[in-house]
Amino acid sequence: MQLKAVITAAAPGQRHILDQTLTTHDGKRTRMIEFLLNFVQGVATETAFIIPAGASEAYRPLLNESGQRIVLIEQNHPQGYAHAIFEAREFVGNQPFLHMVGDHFYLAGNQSGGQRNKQPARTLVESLVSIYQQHSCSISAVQPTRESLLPYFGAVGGKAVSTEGPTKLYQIEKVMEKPTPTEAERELWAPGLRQGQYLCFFGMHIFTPAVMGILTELFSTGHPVSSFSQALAILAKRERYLAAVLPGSRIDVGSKYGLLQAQLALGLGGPDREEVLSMLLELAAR
Amino acid sequence: MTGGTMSIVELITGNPPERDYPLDYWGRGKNLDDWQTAASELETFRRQTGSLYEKVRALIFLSAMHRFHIGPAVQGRALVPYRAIEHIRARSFEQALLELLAMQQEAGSSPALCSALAAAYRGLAFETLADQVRQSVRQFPGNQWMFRAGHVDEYPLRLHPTLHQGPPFPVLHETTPVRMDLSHSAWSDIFFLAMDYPEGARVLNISVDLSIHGSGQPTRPPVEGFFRIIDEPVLRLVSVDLAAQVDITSLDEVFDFGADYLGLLKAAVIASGLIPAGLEGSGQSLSRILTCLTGRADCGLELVSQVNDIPKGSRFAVSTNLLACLISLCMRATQQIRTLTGPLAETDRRQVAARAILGEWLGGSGGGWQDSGGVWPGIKLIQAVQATEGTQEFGISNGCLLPNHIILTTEDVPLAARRSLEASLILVHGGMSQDVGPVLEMCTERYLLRSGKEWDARKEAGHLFDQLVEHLKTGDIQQLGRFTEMNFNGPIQTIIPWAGNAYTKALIDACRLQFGENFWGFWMLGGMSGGGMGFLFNPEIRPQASAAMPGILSDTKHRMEEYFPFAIEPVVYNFAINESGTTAQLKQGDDALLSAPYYLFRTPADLRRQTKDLTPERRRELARFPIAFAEHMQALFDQLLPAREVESATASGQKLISLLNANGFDPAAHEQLRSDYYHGLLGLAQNRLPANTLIEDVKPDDVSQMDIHQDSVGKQALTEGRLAIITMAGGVGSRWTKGAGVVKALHPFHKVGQRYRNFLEIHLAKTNWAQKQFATHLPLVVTTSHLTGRPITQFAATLEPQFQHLDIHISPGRSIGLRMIPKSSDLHYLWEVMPQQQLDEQKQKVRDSGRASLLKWVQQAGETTDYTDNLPSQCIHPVGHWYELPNLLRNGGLRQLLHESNNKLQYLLLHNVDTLGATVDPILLGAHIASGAAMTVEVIGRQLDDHGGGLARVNGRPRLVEGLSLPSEQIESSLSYYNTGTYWITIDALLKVFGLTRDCLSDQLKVDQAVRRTAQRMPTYITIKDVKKRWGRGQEDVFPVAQFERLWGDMTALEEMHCQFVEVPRSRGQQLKDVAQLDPWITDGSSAQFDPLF
Repeated sequence: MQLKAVITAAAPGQRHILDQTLTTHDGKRTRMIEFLLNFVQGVATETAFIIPAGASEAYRPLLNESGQRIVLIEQNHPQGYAHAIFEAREFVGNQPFLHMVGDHFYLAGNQSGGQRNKQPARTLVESLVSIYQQHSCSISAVQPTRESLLPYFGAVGGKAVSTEGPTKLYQIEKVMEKPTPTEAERELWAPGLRQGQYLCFFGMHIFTPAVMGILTELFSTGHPVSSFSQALAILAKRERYLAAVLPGSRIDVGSKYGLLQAQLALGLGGPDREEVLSMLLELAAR
Repeated sequence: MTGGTMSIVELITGNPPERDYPLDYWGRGKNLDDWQTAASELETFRRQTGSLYEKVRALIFLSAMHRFHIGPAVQGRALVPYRAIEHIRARSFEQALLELLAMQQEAGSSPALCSALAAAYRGLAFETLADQVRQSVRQFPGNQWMFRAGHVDEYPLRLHPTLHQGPPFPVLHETTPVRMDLSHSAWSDIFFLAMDYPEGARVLNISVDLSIHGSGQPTRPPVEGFFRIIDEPVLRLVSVDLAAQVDITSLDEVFDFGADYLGLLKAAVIASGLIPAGLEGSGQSLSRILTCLTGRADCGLELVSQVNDIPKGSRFAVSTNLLACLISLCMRATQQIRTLTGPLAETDRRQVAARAILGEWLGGSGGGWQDSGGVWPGIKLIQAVQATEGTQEFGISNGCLLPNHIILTTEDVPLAARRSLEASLILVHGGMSQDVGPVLEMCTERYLLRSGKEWDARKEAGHLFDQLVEHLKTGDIQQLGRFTEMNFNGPIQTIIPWAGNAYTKALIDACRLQFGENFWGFWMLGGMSGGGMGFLFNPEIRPQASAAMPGILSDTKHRMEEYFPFAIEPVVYNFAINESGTTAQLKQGDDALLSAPYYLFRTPADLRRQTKDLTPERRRELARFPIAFAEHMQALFDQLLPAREVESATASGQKLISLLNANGFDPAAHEQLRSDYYHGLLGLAQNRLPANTLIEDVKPDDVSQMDIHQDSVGKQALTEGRLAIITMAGGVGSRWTKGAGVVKALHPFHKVGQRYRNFLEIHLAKTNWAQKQFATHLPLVVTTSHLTGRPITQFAATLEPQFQHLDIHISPGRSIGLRMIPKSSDLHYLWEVMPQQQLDEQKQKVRDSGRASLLKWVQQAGETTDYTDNLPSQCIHPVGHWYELPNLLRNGGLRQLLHESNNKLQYLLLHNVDTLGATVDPILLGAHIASGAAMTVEVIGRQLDDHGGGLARVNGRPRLVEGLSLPSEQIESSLSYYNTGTYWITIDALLKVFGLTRDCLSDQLKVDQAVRRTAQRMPTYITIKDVKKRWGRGQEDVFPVAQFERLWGDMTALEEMHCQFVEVPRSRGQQLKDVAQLDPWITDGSSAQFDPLF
């Protein structure tokens, strides 16, 4: 199954995807945007980047280099994350679409004995599509996250649909944007999690067209839309909306040491693991 | 199956009505064996059952059975093992029970063992209940994370972005009404009751705004809080009404509740999650949390509380609502509550209420489950909730921790009805501030025992509640008043007789006398009357009633203030129903200021600093606030120049000097004492007998038993008028009022028939009875001190007719001492070396922290200097009851008695005013006469609570030893007998010990020398007493002060004082020292013996 993809890259923390680079194990310096395109390769028929106003020129060379169908949408009057997605309404039309955030770096597979079970990160997107094909409803990838990190993410609560196998599925009943632990403990129940952990967004979603409909309703009221989670909370009330815990992890490269963390994760997950570890120890011992 | 034929376990596990069958009824006709078998069954049952409430009921049953049924019936002499005493003190109740039951198995049951078993079972029951409430509140959804957050790196909260916008930084301001309980509902809001009997736990709770009548101020929410970022990297806590401020820079200080007056604010900071409880003792940095919250390393936070003119003890749950207000404020600021301003949503109100319960536990206080009612708007029906599957309490207790709040709309209670209530009700604070803790425990105990008449009263309270709701809904306030008073006179006082008191009754009588039919009824607020109370009047005369109430309250208070612990002058409130509940507003820009009282408190200190020492924000604020609060500038000048305080201190000092002069204070002797104390010749450690003193329990022959054959000798002496009674009434009830200082003898503590009776009246009634019984004349001498002399003399001059014929003599005190600041070494000794009852974990923390502050106070005030920073009457002290009888020699009282009896008087019965069972008994008098002893001492078999020495063989000679003088506390537990403080004395033998005869009593010089000479042979004990200092609006501090005492029991140590010791029943020898003793005093039937005397 193939879908259109929408990647948001207009927020201040997401604007560096053209400049930020990571070095892969073969020594190649790869830009963040290339990683993003690689993630959706084979799944996305066409990818729209929501970028800041006037940024198209900087992105233009990419259109030729990538070999993928890319559309650039400038967010001329930025009103937040929900608005950025809303800007893609014409692009997606009345079709389901894949949505990813531009400042996340993904690692597929589970950590085992200090070694990551190496799989391309693209498999995470493929898993999400596979679940979508099976359930035909909106689905958000989520990750159990410690409560201390709640200020950084949207989070969901709901009942378990399937907790067997590598991918756990929950039916979302409640969505909250950056909840406090107080609210999370009270509202965001999800069975099978450790105490103090909540299902936080992974930055990877497949939405039915209903989402754009809800955003249209919200923006037509003239009131500011506080967060995209506001729309997703309505979605959870209107139709079946699933959360999938995928076998992987994400790094927010927009955070303080996010890019460094992503580079280290790449290094430690590849053939140069011993070298990177020695390097770290040497640094630590100084 | 009828109740009596059920097994004891079925009484607990059965469904209603079996479950509600009173233990007392079940026990009718049962003998000792039956009770002991039942106790054994229950002991097994309580260990096996998994149900919390079955366990707790079994424990309370076991306590009651040992105290009231088994203990009084067994004859054994086994003493309480010292290890069990230690375990009980350390709150290791299970270990104590193991020791006690093993001893019972080995040596057989005894009254002493039963007393300890009763205490251990009771302690374990209340600890189990308290643990469950704590567990429930910790597990309440939304509260748990705070106990997991143990590292700053995991700190999950951020301030609301709006609060960062500055400078000036915005001020978040929360105002909260307080709550009043229209129904009372028989204390059904106690957590333990509501969680076991949710169907009975209902209250009608109203949020109210208040102002002091006559102040000219409009009604407003009595509780306020402010929150803002400040440009100093500290957590600043300020209580405007307590005039206290602290700048906190470490996490340890946040958790140090007793260090200052800001414990409630600290509890709010923790319970709100601002500083999560999990960080306690983590060694983490407060500044990192402040940086995380404010986003800047050079900024901090300020949290300010303000209570507007509401005195302590108001029964409006002011402290709980203040806690809730501050918690709500901090939760809004940290986005745990999404609405930064305006009222709260129901989910948030419940969260705030749960956090307030948590805060109360952290701060070592306690409140009822309806107390945070001010968070909700208007009139609420609060009902406990049955625990069902899915609730955290399911399977543990019948009810949930938090009740449901059903807000009554204007359809339920129309506006007209609300206005009618406002137009009829006068709310007052009667001026008394009492600890309701013992009442709540009594109430819980009686509920769990299903004590017959109390259980019926609880059911009746339920019916009355339905009536109250109906009358409120229809706006029939006259009927409402009738039912609130019916509730007070009926169920409330049936369950807890001390909920009412003579003061309240006098107020009700005065209102009824003055306003007749237009006084519609009395209404008790909260746990006890005397503090917050309501009076309902016909709205047509309410203005007159409002005008008259201050006078009624004030007059009544002044008549009774010497024997009731009043904390403040009574006040009358204006009130209005608050229809919003707790509400917040944001002040920004030029409006970003706190309240005028805040600036009046803080500004003088700022003005005394150099401008360069003030932060830029503080400087800007100093420039802004005079413009906003121009009308308060005069008040600010008054604060800067506290002339009135100086005047008041000077006047107080002069009064103290004149009081000392008028009461025979001996400055030279005082200086000698101070010197001895300072140089270590006197002190707590020096009170003790030398370690090489041989102290053993007495031998069986050392103690006589009461012998009926001696009855006739005693009767004859009585008939011949050879006995006089001496009642020692110099004390101010230190334990009775926890240091408040009242004339204990005159405290009307117990209701007999329709009248409250004081200690002295009970002794008068007994004397009256004895005169008639033995057809004789019995002079009664009441010995007094500087504090009690005048009130007791006044009382004796206005006796009711039935006592007017009695021959009463008042013996004025002749000795007085001035309290001193104790040595810190003595405080360490008292708190660390001498045995102490441990408190519940959190309360103990608060106590320990408070003690650290007291040690600092001692250092600052100066060890062994005079204690003068209090009311003069609180600075002086009676110098021990040894002086009370010798005073009779010095003031001519004994000479007069002898003269009036034509020298027939030969014997004295000397006893304490709180030993109510000490009656004239011909058997004991006969035994005394027959023995030929100079003094017969009444002793009782020792039980667990009998501390303070006893009867011992000291170096082979039987005598009384004071607890203060025992080298080791363990010795006390090995002494079989406890001193009752009641003595039979042969006058001539006593005079001989003093080196006097009847004939030389008129030689004042000789008498004075004799008393001084004998006094020098008595040991001087240094004791540490708690003294209350009142300040502000009913606030109280308790300070430990040093005073010296000489005690009459040491007369038994004199070689030439031939003494005998006789064992008497406990009901005769027990002294009532603590209010908590009243409940068992009634339950064991001790009080009933006085009913026929009036």
